[in-house]
Amino acid sequence: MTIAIGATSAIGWKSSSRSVRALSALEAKRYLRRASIWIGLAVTVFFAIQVEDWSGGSYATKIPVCFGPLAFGTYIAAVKSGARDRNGPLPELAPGSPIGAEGRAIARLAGLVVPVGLSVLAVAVIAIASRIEGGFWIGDLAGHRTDTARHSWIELLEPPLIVAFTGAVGVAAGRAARRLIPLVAGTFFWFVCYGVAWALNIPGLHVIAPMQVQPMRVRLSAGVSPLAAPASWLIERADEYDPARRVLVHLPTVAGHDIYLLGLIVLWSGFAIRADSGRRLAVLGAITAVAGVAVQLIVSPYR
Amino acid sequence: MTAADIVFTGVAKRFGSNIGVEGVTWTGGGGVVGLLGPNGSGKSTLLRMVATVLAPDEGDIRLLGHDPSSGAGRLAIRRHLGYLPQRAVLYPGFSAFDLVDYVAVLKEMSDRRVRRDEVRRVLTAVGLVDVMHKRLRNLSDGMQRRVALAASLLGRPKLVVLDEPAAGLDPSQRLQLREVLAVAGREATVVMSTHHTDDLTTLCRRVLVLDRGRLCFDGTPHALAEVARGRVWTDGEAHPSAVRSWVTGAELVRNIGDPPSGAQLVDPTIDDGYLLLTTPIGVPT
Repeated sequence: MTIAIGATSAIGWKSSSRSVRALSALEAKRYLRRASIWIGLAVTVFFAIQVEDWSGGSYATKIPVCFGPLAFGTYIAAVKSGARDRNGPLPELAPGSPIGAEGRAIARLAGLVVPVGLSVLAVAVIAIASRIEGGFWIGDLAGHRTDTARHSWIELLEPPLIVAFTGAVGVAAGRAARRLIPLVAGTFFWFVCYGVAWALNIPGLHVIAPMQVQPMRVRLSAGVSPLAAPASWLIERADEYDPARRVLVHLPTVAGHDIYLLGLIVLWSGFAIRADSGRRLAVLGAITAVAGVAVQLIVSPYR
Repeated sequence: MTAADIVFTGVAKRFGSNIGVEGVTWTGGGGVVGLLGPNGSGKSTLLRMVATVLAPDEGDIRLLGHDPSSGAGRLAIRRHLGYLPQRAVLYPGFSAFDLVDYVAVLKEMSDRRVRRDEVRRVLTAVGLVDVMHKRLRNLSDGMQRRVALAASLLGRPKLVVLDEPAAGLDPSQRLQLREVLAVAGREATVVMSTHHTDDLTTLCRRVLVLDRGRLCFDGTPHALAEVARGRVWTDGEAHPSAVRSWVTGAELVRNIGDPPSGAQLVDPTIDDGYLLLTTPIGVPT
């Protein structure tokens, strides 16, 4: 055996913030190795290349619905990362290190830059491809439909925000409970938010749905003839459940929803970090999320 | 490394109605200090306080000249501390290299090149360089223990706290451990708990004995053996006046306690001194 402990060498002790950044880089590297993220991305790409044959179908699927699998894969990876130091009565890895639980949680959150970056990349590909192809179909009635609808940058923000949100929830859940509980609970909530996303997008609930879908559908009042509607309105034909309805991409609602998602990310990051700084972050996130909901209610087209 | 790296003054720690440690006053530093005591005597509690992960209920602690009760003091200590808990937690999905590298970052070694050199150095020191890219779940318990030991030696800490570092190691690995600790003890204060008294004889310049939370001995290994001088004898059978008796390999019974007249006294060992200190009087076995 070689004994290499000899004269003291100069090992530079750096500031904590630099060390947390170095730890974040390691965590990001670990996320890159998570199969759940890559499987989620593969399923997202699979859904993204599908063409839906109803008004607004492809528009809604491309952004944000197809990002549900990537968000879920990120959640699983984040739970595993957050739960690494949950060992029952045993201490965390290397107790007595300068970087404690708070710094480790920050690094695990910062490492989410990997799945968020992947979602940004996928969103960019979708945005560029849709602009090359010309855009998406929304509306049914002649003179009240378009085949060139394109997502605005405010809408394009939603998938990365959703991925960051599920990641933050995952880190917080992993720190808080045994791994199996957050995985089961997360699967259930993912099904609610993604599998039956339409149910959470009914008027009223749409402001709190993590995955808000555009275009929005506003039922036309009984006295309004679809054919007499302004030319700029997109109209979907009536069916047995619904009379004719106006269908629109409502950017003020999208903006409010982005603020809401940002608030949720900050809120759950606070839960993940805990300690005083985490609590302050959670309060800030809660206020931001409530503000986002308020904006959506104020500008709501459902009137 | 100074003679006062560790200063405990009237330190007590309780867990509900159970006593962890009680009234411990101790100043130590320099070289390897051994900590002996029966299971549940408070060794791990004491070491956790030295490692700044447990605060005392009473008394004052100063480590490396800093007060661990303040955030700044604790951070200053932790920058020069290596700690191996009794049951060290590792990430089984990590390779040995990645795990020690991760701990190096936790110890604020952010320069990647310097850090990686340091990781290789400590893994080489514990004899694991050949398997450093294997996942921990594929390594034996003894190897995992050595990975944890390597992590505790990162950055040449001034204060190394090892809670039963020899647990789970085979005889060959224990010899390797002794080599590593002997070298570490030249440049740092190493405090280690152990149940292997031969490790104390070989490594330690100072031994502490804890019993039921109280420090009942503080001295050299030789002095610990001398505690039993004149109180150890061999005989054909266990003697009623002995506080402890056991059969030796030579089919003789070794007794410690108050020898009867004419008893065949023998030279005491560290084990004898330790057993005499920690066996309750009137409870012969």
